[in-house]
Amino acid sequence: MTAISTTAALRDTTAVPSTGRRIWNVTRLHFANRFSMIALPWIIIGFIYLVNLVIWISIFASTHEQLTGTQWSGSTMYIFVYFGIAAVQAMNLTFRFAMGMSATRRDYYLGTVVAFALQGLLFTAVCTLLSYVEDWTNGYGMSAHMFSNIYMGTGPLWQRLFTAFFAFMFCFALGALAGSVFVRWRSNGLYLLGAIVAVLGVGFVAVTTLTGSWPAVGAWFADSRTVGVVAWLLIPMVVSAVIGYFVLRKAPSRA
Amino acid sequence: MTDTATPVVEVSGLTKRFGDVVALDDVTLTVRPGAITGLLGRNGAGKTTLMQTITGQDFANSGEIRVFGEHPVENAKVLSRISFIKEGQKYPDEFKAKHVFACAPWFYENWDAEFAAQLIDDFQLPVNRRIRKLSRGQLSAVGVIVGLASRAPLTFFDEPYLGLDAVARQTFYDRLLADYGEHPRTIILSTHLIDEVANMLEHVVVIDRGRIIMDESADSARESATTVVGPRGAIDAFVAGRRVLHREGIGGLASVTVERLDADERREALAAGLELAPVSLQQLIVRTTNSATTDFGAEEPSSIKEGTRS
Repeated sequence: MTAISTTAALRDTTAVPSTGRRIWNVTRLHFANRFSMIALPWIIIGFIYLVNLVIWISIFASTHEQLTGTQWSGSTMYIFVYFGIAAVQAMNLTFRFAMGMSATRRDYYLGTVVAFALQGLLFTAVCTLLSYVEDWTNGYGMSAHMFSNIYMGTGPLWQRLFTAFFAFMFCFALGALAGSVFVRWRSNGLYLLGAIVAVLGVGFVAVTTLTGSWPAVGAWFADSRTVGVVAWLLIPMVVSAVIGYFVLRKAPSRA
Repeated sequence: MTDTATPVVEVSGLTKRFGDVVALDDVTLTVRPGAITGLLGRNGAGKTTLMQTITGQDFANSGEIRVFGEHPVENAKVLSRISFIKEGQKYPDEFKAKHVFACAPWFYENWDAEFAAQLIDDFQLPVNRRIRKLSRGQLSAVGVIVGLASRAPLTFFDEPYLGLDAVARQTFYDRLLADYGEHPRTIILSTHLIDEVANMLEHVVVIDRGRIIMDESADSARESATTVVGPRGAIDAFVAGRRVLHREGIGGLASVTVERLDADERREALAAGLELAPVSLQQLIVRTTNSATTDFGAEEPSSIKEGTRS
C-alpha cells in the first residue's frame, strides 16, 4: 500500500470537463462515424431525388408539357420519418456506449439534442436552398417540384426555414421520446407508448366524428397552412422532448 | 490495513432487487485507493450488479453509495474519473474499433493515445473492421485497451477477457501491472480466472448470492486456510474441534482444509507427521462458496459440510 499518495495525486489532478464540453463530447460521439449520421441521410435524399428526376424527365419527354401536381410531392417526408427512426436507433445504440464512456444521462440527452439540431440545421439549409433552385429554374424547366413543395418549400424565406427545421425537430423529439422509452423499458415500454398514441389518435377521430367537426378540422388545416400547423406542433415537440429527458434520466444501462 | 486514506468507494446497506431476485443483499464494502482489488464470485453472485450500481449505471433499491466521497449517480465529477469496462459493452452498430478509440479521449482526461496504439499493436486488433465483425476475443481487446489507456483513477474490469487466449490474457496482465506501477490507481477486477490473477491482487472481495463473504488483503486471505495431508487417523485427531472447510480422502489418506493455523498449531501438525500445504486463492474461494465435500473413501459417511465441526 505504498502507492496511496501518488494515487491521491493522480486523482486530484484529474480535471472535470465543463458542462458545455461534456455535452459537446456526446454530440461529437454521434458524429464519430460519419457514414450513418452524415452520409446515409444524404444518400437517401439523393436517391429519392434521382428517382423523381427520372420520372419527371420520362413524363416530360413523352408529353412535352410542363408537369402538373408535383408541388404536392411528399418525397421529402421520407427524410423526416427517417430522422425520427434514426433518433430511436441512435439512442438505443449510443446510450449504452456513452454510459460505458462514463457520460451522465443528462449530458447524453442534451448532447443528443444538439447533434440532431445540427442535423436539422444542415437539412433545413440544403432543402431551402434547393427549393429556391427549383423556383429560379422553373422546376428544372419542367415545373418539377420536390423541395419547393407546397408544404414547406413555398412562401417567404423565414417560412421555409421555420417549417423545415421545426418539422424536423418535431420528428426528432418523437424519436427521442420513443428512444428513451425503449432504453428504459425495452419493447414493453414502446408497446405501451404506441397504445397511448393510438388511444389519443382514435379518441380524436371519435370526438371529431361524433361532433361532426371534420369540416372544421379541414378548415383549420387550410387556414393555418403548414406554417401554422408546424407552429402548433411546437407544443407536442417540447412536451415529448421534456418527457423523453425525464424518462431517460432513470434508465438503467445494463449489458 | 491501517491506512487512513479516504476510501475511493464506500458502500453501505446496498440492496438491489430484480423482481423477486435479490441481486445485492445489504452489501457494505469499502475500497481503499491505490490497490488492485479482485471482486470474485460465481456467476450470478452479484459482481456485475455491484459494479453497475457503484458506477451509477443502475439504481440501487436502498443503501448508500459514495465514490470519491460523493453520490455517483448522474454525477459528472465522479463519473469522469471512472472507467468501467464490462464484458457485455454495446457499441453503435456501424462503429469500427478506431471510432471507439477516437471517442475515448473526449471522455477520459488521462487518455494516453500512444499507449493505446501500442496496445492495439500488442493485441493485433484490426481497428478498421466493424465491431460487429470482430471475434469475441477481439471485442474483449477493445474494452481492455480502453480500460488501460484511459488511466482513470478508478478503473473497473468486469470479466474483461472473454474469448482472449492465454497469450493475450498474459499480455493484459503484464501491461496492467506495468502501467499500474507507473501510474498507480484503484483497479477493481472481476473474474472467474482466479488463479491467473491471484498474484496481482492486493485485496480480495468475495461475493456470494448477493452478500460479501470475504473482504481482506490477499495475503491474509491466503493464510486464512491451510490444507493438512496425512493418514486418516492422524488427520481426524488433528482436526477435531476445528472448522473444516473441505475434506477429501482416498483410502487411508485424508486431505483436509482447515482455517488459519498459528505457529504452534503448525508445529503440532508437523510433529504428528502431517504435511501442510498452502491453499490457492481459487481453492479457498471454491471452498468458501461451495459447501460440497468429496470423499472417495467408502467406509465412512461423507457428511462433513462447511460450518459443521467434525
